Amino acid sequence: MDEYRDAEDERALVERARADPSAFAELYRRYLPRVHAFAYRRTGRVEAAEDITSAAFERALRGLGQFQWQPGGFGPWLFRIVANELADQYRQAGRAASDRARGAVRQLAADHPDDPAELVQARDDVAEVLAAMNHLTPRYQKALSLRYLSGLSADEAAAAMGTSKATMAVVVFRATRALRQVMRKGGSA
Amino acid sequence: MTRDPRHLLEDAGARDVPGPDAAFADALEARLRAVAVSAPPAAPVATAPTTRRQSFGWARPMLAGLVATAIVLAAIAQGGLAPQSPTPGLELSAAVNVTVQLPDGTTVENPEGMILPEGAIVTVGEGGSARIGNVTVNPGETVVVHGGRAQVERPRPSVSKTAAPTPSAGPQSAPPSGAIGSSEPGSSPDPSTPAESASPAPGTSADPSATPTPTPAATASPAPTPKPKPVVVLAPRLRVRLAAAHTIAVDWTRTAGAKSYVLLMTRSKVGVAPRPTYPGTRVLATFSKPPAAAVQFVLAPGVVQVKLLVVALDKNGHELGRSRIVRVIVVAPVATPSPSASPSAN
Repeated sequence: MDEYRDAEDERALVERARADPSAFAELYRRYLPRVHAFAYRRTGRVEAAEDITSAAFERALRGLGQFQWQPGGFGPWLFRIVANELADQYRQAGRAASDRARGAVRQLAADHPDDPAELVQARDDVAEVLAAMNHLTPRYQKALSLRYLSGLSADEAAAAMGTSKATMAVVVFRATRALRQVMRKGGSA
Repeated sequence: MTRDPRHLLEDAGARDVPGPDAAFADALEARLRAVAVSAPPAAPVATAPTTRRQSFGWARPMLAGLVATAIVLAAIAQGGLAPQSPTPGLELSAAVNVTVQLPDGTTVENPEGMILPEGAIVTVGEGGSARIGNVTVNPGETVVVHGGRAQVERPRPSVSKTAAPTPSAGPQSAPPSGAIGSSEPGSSPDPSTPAESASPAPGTSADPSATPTPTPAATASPAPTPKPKPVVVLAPRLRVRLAAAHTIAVDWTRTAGAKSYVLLMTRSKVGVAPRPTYPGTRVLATFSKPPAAAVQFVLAPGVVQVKLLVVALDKNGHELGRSRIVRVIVVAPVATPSPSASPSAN
């Protein structure tokens, strides 16, 4: 029931923001932490996360008129924009981005000297897998980041991707396999 | 690299991250307000945000009409519009050392009789085998259920390529099987393969199957009876137990006349799982028959409670009976750290 009320509430917010763009601020405040967290998890850098967050919200504000209400609500649409921004960024940055991301996450590990060695190793592994993602196609990058890094449910991630949940599962499976192959070849190095 | 990318991505997604800087948040809000002032009120346009589709806006209603017509024609061709009509076209059988990953990420071990849903990924481990419909799946092979077909993706030797992996065909078009090189023979073919479940935790198998099933009439009379009364089972008896950490074992009894069984599961990561309802709650899996051995579901990390319900359907997809709802506490509250399973009171 709460979910229904939240959805209705959000729908009203979206309608208000359409009529009066200044009302977009409430949507912005509602989604800022999640969007920023998504961008940060993917990039591993505060500056990059802020850039992505800014660009995504601005694009969402400008494109609000084209948003069509969908069962998942406003969130999947917004996260789709964020995923597109992330994919665009890595497409532009190319391989250099992977080195930066890996370095950034290694730096994160260094910020936690109390962590046991296994945790530091895990952080390094995560940095490597994020770097390897840069070698995938934008579609695969979007699928993996929406499914695993955005904090969305499987349904919401599929909605954000613009596919059915079943199709999303297949895309994620193939993207994961491609990622594994990149990592096996040392593509992230 | 010692771990599978899927697990690493799950770790990355579960990691705590710093929140946005307050100064940044304020500055961005101010900028958005400035953009809003300069931007005219947005005219609602019924299109997705991708620019490519905007020029084909006229095609959407036409496409929707064609799709609706096709659905109606298909339904008529199948002899009606029976709800939830079970179509056991892609039934998993002879499953040995098989892991099925459902579209929502849930993995199931050896789900004999499961009717594989669209998006399911079936992996056969070493020494295992399976049949999906009339397709035999061998060890090391993976099957993707897509477009209503089981696409076998056999492991291929790694091809030396320096570029990024070739993108497979999009899911809208039928993708070719084996579009991307797969895992090496002998290696673990799929990240979703969970650890073998341990023996049932003691004290966790509280039998929830208190379903009031009709008892067969005790005809102990030695007098010659013209015909024995048939045993009529009206509802499946569902049993769920914790098999290992984050692994539940599920089975249920047969229901007379049932042609399929729908298993529903609700989950919660924060507390009480919602009550499963049928129809209404997402269907976890459909089976053509009760599993011969308990099917093991590996739950996602963070799930603290699940509720399950199994509904028996006849050949037309109409409900014959349903089990009681069984609740399983996967992770006990802090005060009681040991996991436990218990039948739901509701």
